[in-house]
Amino acid sequence: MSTPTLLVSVDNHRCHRYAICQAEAPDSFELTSTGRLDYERRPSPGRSPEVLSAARSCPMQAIHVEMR
Amino acid sequence: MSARRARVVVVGAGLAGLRAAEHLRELGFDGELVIIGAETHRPYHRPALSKQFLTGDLAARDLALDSYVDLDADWRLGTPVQRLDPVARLLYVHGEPPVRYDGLVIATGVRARWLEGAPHRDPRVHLLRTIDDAEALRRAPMADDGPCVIIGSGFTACELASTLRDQGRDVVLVSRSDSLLGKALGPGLGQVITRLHRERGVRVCLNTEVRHWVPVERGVGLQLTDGQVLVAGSVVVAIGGVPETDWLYGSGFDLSDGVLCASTCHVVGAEDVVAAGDVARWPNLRFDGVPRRVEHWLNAVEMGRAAARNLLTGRSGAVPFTPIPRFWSEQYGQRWQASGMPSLGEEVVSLEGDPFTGRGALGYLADGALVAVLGRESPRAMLRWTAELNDQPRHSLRLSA
Repeated sequence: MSTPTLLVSVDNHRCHRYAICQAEAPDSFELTSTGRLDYERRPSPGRSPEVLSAARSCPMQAIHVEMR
Repeated sequence: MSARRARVVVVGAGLAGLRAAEHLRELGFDGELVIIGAETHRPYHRPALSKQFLTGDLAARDLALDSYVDLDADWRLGTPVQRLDPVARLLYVHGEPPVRYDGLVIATGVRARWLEGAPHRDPRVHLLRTIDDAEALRRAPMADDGPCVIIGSGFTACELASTLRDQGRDVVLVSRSDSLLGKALGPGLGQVITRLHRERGVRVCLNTEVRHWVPVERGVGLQLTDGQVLVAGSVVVAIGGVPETDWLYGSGFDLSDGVLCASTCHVVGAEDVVAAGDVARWPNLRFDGVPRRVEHWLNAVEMGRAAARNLLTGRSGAVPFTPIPRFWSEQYGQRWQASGMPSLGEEVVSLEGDPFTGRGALGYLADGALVAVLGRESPRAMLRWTAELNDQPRHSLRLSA
């Protein structure tokens, strides 16, 4: 399986901050103590599988991933 | 499944079927991929139907589910499969030649359960499972002619009640249970959810059922077994799902509640057949050896992938599917989340905060081991406690210890 470069964006309106993305990809997503979601917009290719898992698993389908 | 250039058929074009198909391609399956679905739509995000789709926040096009690889699939939508012959490896579809497969993924999910006695063909009486159901409900005559009566006490019923109340609609919940969501969360939290809905102005009628459906001028009349009479502007039957297995009669499979699978998602009694999602009953060896169905959205994602992997691997090298089941629900802007199997809990302990009154997390214990955690407005606590749950000794380990 090739590992594409990913461009990640999260729809702030859709996201309800369940932090399922952080469970799937803890190095790329973090729900902060103030309730903000921090995330890597260009995760390293090695993290692509877990970032895709985060996108697939998002309860609100708020994570958009573009493959380059 | 031996031949690499083979044909895999996925029956069911919902979430589990999509994720199975996607993972087959990710794993390098380069044979023919056929996806057969009874609904006319490509896979879509069902959880939004009772919430953002109903309010108009999201439109049908916003609900489309992405695949992150090129599926290169032959989609046959609006095509219910009528029969399976697992010996000849043939699927029978009305009006078409039978479809042969080398590998089969069963992912037909559940259909909404109909309430016996409810009037058929009454445009005011709805189900809520498919996008077509939700579309009909969205267009239903609303508001001015009586409350929306929701029959049921599960997630769909509660989330729909919340959505309609937030829109200012009059809502009545009717259930024969003694609390809302009590089956999923336990009786204590069931009372909390019941109180929450009452505080928000929902009339909650528990321990009762519909005795008579009475035709009235501008609505639907319901006489309940406790004597109450309701005149509804519309009714939604939300009493759970029935595994979609009618097409498997005659296959020889155990269909007593969904299709019985081994721990690896392989269907018992068949070669090269796996099942995933709401329709599959399998033993999750992380907890015990009892086969159960798990109707969680995330389970469809994870099981679809596990089933695909194990189908390609074959029975001998297959790995048991042992997830920590996870679900979430949002009502009146409050997030409820759980990990594990709350139904296995013998006692409940407070982990942090107090979810009975506000935010916090609870643990469910069995034999002194943590089997589930539940959080109210506590996603970060859920991360920590789900990791803790993951570190618990597994059932198989406990047995051999």
